[in-house]
Amino acid sequence: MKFRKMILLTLGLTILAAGAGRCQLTTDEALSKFVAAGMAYKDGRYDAAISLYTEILQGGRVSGPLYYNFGNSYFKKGQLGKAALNYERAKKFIPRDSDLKFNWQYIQSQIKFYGAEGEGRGIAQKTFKRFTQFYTLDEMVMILLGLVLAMGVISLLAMYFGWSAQRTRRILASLFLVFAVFTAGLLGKITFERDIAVIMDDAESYFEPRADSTAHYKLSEGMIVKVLKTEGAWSKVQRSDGKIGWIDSQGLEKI
Amino acid sequence: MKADHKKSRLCLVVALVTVCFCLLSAVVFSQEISVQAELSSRKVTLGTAVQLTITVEGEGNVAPVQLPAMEGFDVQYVGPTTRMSFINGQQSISKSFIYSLFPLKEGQLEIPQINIVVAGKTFTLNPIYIEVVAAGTPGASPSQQPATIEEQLYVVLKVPKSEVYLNEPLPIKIILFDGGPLARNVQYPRLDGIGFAMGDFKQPQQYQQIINGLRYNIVEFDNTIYPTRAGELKLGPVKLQVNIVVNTSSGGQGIRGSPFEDDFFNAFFNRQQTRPMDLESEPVTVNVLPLPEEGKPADFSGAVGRYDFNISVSPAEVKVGDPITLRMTIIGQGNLAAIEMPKFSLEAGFKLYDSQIFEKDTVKKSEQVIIPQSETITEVPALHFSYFDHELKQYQTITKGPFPVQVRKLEEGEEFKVVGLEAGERNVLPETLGEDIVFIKMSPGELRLRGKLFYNSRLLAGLIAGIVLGWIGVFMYFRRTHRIKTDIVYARRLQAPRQAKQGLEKAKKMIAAGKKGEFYDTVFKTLQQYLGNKLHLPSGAVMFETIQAALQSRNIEAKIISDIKTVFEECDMIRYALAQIDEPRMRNTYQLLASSIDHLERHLK
Repeated sequence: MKFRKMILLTLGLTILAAGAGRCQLTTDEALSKFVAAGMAYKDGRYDAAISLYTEILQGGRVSGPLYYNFGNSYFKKGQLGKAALNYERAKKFIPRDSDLKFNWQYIQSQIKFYGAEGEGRGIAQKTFKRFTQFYTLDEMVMILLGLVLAMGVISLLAMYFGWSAQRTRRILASLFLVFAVFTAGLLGKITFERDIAVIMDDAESYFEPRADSTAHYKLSEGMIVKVLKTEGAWSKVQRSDGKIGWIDSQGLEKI
Repeated sequence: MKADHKKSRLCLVVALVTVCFCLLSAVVFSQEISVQAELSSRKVTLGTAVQLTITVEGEGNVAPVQLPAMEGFDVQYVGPTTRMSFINGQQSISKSFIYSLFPLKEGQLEIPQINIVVAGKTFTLNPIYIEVVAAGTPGASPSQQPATIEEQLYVVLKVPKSEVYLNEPLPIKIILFDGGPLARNVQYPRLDGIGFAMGDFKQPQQYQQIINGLRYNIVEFDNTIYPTRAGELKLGPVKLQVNIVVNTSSGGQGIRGSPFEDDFFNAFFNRQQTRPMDLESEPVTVNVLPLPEEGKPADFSGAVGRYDFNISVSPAEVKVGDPITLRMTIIGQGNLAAIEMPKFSLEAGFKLYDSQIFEKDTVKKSEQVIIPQSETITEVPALHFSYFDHELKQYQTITKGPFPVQVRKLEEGEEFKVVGLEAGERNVLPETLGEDIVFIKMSPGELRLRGKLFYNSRLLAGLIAGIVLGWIGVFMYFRRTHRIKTDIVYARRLQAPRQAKQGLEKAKKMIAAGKKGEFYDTVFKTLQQYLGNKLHLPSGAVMFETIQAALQSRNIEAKIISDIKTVFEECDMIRYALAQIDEPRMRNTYQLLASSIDHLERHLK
């Protein structure tokens, strides 16, 4: 009996220690901080709201509305770069949220753009990007899983009921086409989101990874760039109009 | 009478010709007079004559030039040539005097200064030097051609000044000197210049020029470059690729001056060939000064050069919501691509559309549509364009405007209406719309642990594995069921062990019950059914004799075949000698049957 109690005690302490090591907030704790942050925001205490939202994030909890509110707080503080970064992160969770779309578009109108924005991107590319941004990663994976399941069930039903090979092939080919589109979308989304970063402050991009190099083009706070390569403290970035240059890695943050 | 008429006609023709000649002379005299001396070669071997040509352009009435005494030369006057041309309505005349100079000694010989009087004006030709070398000297040309290819064919990069401001337009010239003529297919030059922005080269100019007494064909490429970085920058070298013409045979060994040394004969008898040659100029160092901070206007966007700035606004009288076109033009010498057009203030009460920008040569234009939002607007505000004037070395700002406009209120009936909705049904009041972001969300949604997503979870891996395994399982089941339905051989083989097992169980019970007859019937039936199923034979046709060969052909051990034979014999014998059968014998038969079936199940495929 004593032995069993000792085992239970050790097990309990281990779980507690593991939990403490991760510093994770419980859902209730995170929820209470979220509500408190919302009240601080209402009162115009944006610093307090940012601090509370940061605590939730440091506690290992994330959600779309959390990033959205975080972005709002930074926008109210006049930090366009951080606001854009958090809206981009929120899009990973709630891509179709109308409020998020509105705020994101609004801050895009506040960002200074140099060069021809999106120049050279064709209709197909734009459509593909819109398609990948419509779903979250989880949704895309679930749709793919559903498609695989559907293809499996249909192939078995065809076998069981003796459907004609032509009919079966037609149904399976249609499903496979949708599957291929979603797979391409998923891969595209993963690749795209992995390399995307937001400019934190107005900066210049250089021809070489050196501060005394020739300035190539301008980057403004909140602008979204694609990180092509990182070399030491410098990152090689591509602006939306296709121009490529080097910027100090401290001036940007990956999504 | 007739002779008089002829005479008068002749007089008329002579008079007309005289008038024409006078007019022509007047045109010719109106040309600027110039005098040039040209030497066929500046380096010759002793014993080879060199040709001196003195050309007077713009005057045909010139007496032969009297050359001064020349030490070291034997001079012979060859004769004059006169050339008249009439190109694009412009006439020109030139007269050349040709002298043959025969060097009498080696070394640097001088043709002294020559003074020529033409039309009452004295022209002075500078001294010209000729190098005379002994015959057979390396590098010396036995002919009258210039000595080396480098002297005849070279490229020069010319920069008007060595100190410029950042982004200042710097016109450059790249000049190809060809004293041969040697060059064919001259390519556009390539200019190395890190820290400079440059456009495309213009169409090259081609002309001739006499330098130090030698006539050169000149190809001149012009471009304008803009330094983009301050500091000491290296411009060049210029690399230029040309094809040069070289002789493949006789190679200068022939007698110069003979008709067969002529280019025409060389080309005709394929004695010339072209080969590519890369020419390279000396680089030039340019000191690029940064733009001064002092006096820099707040709206300065980096334009350097000299510009003019103009704006037009039309129409000047509109209604609220009607478009006004704002046209801006910047004209000047500078890097237009780097110039930002002046921006219109958002606070001016206009709705702005994106401007369309056009750029060509020295002009940059923009067109922007602006829409007045209120009838209280009275003017389009002034716009400023600032640039740095590199010649005056100071910033300049050009201000244009404000431009008065009259914005009228929309009268009743002029506003947009929805068809079918009668006026006055709704009292829609104008509203002032503010701009801000949407308020925060009060619900946090699903607060997940960071990084815990479905797409990288074990659940997903499990689901995928489950789907794949489930599909394989159901597929196998369907396939088996289908085969059982359609493949009778497979179905009987599959059925054989199950039926044998049932038969053996039944036989075992018979032993326990001591039912000898039924036991052997069951054993016989079980074996017959099993072998019939396995070998796909009708059960009634299964006798030892019928199956022996089939089992042997399938490599079944002889002992098992013997055991099967024993079982069959036992079953046959029981019909005649039932009383002699006891339980151990029945068990033995059972064992033989069980072991035989077990063996066949494992080895009979």
